[in-house]
Amino acid sequence: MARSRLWRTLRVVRLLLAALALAATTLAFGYAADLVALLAHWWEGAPLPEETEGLVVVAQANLGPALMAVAARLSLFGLGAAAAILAATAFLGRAYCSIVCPLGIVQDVLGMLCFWRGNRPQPRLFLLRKGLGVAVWAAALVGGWTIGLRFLDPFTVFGSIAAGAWLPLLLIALLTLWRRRFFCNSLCPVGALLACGSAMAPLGLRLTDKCVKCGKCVRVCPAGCIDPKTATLDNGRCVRCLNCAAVCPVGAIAYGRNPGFRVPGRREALRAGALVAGGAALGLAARAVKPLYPAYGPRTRTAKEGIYPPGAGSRQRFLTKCTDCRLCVTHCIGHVIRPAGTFGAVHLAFDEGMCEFYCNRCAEVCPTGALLPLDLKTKQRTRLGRAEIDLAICVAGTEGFECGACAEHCPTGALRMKEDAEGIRVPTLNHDLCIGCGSCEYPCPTRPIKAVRVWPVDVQTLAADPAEVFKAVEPEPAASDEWLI
Amino acid sequence: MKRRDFLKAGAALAVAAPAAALAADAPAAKSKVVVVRNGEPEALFRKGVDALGGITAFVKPGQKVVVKPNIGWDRAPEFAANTHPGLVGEIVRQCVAAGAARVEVFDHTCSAWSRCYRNSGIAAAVEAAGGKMAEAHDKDDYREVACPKAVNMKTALIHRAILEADVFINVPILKNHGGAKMTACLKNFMGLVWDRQYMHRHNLTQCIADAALYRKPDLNVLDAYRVMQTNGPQGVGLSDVRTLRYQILSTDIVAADTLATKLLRFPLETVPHIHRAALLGLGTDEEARMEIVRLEA
Repeated sequence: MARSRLWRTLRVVRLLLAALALAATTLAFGYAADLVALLAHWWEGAPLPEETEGLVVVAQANLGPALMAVAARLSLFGLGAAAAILAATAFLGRAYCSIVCPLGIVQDVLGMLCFWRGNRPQPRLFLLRKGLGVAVWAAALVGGWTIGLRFLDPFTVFGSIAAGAWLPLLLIALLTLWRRRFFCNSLCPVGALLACGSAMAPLGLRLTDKCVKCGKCVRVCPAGCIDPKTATLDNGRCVRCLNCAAVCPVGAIAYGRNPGFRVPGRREALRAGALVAGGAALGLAARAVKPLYPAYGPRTRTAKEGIYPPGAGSRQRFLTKCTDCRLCVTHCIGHVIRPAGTFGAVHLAFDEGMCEFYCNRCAEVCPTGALLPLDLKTKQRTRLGRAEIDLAICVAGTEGFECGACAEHCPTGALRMKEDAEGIRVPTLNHDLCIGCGSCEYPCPTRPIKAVRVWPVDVQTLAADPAEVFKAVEPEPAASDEWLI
Repeated sequence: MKRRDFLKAGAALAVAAPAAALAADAPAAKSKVVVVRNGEPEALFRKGVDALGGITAFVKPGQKVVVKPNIGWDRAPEFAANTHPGLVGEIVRQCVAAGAARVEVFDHTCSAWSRCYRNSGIAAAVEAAGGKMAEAHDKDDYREVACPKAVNMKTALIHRAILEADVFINVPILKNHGGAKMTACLKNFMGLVWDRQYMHRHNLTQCIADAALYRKPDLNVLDAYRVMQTNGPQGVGLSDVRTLRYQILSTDIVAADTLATKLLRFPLETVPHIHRAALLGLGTDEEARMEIVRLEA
């Protein structure tokens, strides 16, 4: 039998699906709305960017975030997505890595950069791969230490690239140029998880005895999972790119019973249990190391961080759930959510905008459950921080002019202009109503330091309900024929 | 010419020129202000603009029109934080019917612009009426203009749509305002300016009056159908809003704002930017110099 047409067709289908998935995931980072706006601009007269918000599901269906969301808030969507992906491993192997995972597809694209040389077999690195994978998962899910995932979860790494970070892209490019999908098979915790399933799945790929050991498949295999000497294929590392089957001149790659199929023995089960326990202990230990999470006192905003998006719950909770995938960063309509620093968390800054009162997009898109979904009413009362006014530098205090920029932007009525002893209207704050949304800090015109600033709170609590505080000031007057003017 | 004649002529000119300038400044006739009430915003406008000679008195075929409502906040129409979408749609429709080459609508919003445009209902109303929403959230859309007559804001970045337009229709909504006390026709000019923080920093009331010098509106249509009496300019809830069903139309921006204070029951002197605008010669804040036409829709 010569080269298989079926395998070549399937490979083309795989490429198309991968291209589609990469495009959709990239667009899900808020770029879909931009694209629609651009198209509307070209076709003059088209309406404003319509809702493209549903696309975010593509991002939420990634295995890493889905598992996080199950652990963080028992997300049913996450449970369904994770179960579907893991179940598919039984007969499709790690097709997820080639068709869905955006970072995997990015590596395939980057791999084209070294078209002049073929791939080489890669070491199995069994302990590193599975050990690191399990440890990272246990540390993140049980220990609540998400920094491991921040640097290793492929969706999170892709997210930082999609949000414009170049360093992760450079590192991935270098790894790819060195050994193609080395990341997927040695560092990626999602890959490790899928590898366990794929290696022991009932169905898989194998080299039949038709193999003439020409080595063509080895040169095109990005996972480096084919051993040319023994003519064996490691289903654990195979990402089902189908390159080998499409290139094989004698049709020696066959799909069928997986030679590695077996029920895990007691020894393996014990080893896995030990890894999980060790990882969990590692996570708990890491949280205890103070320098990783320096304490920000309520009035010492030394670091830029400390104010977290609505739905974060508390500082403590958020730091153990957020992986810095930056989906909320790119979706934030007020441009106030900023990506995490190296060991910090995604946080809010009000120099370029305010947390929009009628928007709860960040909590809607968050794929890992770090932000709990809040209905709009609750979000509008969720206190992210506390505003404080410094009248010593306020325009009204220093110049004697009425300014009122803060008061006019305050959406809850917490900040209002009231006359002081000299009859100048100065900003005054009702702390019960303040939700720390930054609507006052953003428009404040004083420089270099703003006269109104929002300070962090440790736990997000519910502020007073403006509807209760502001009852109707005056009843609707009875209809009268008298002219008001 | 003899030297004496020359001096005489010179002296005569020196006296006559300022006098002529004064005569030009002082309005020869009273400012006409049309107050319409008891109708839907669209009906109020139809009645009011007819009393001013119809839309054709303002818009000629082939002209570029800009309609500037207040779309500052991400609020639904019933909260009365933005100009009534029906009114904006009706104005755009009439301009298109009068043969306008292009009708642009924009505002430099406070909340996120796309949400304001959409949730105010104004984008949909304008598109349906044949107008076009112009973006105003990008500094590139603004051009630097100088205005030596201004007191505090002598240069400003003004939106290009205003500078390009042949006809400028100012369509604010009347509201109580935390910073400026009241927002109406004059305060609406802050939505033409890029750097609002400059205005807040350099005596807001004077800067509001200064801003109105940059382009005289050809018509002011003040929406007082629903009026935010308290907690403006955003409002906290529906309890801030009263339905008055009024509308004020005038070519005199100061006169329109002067009468609007009565709808909020604010003494005129508590809204200082109105008098400052009158001092700049933008219109009259004295009722004796207005011709008020009261109409029922």
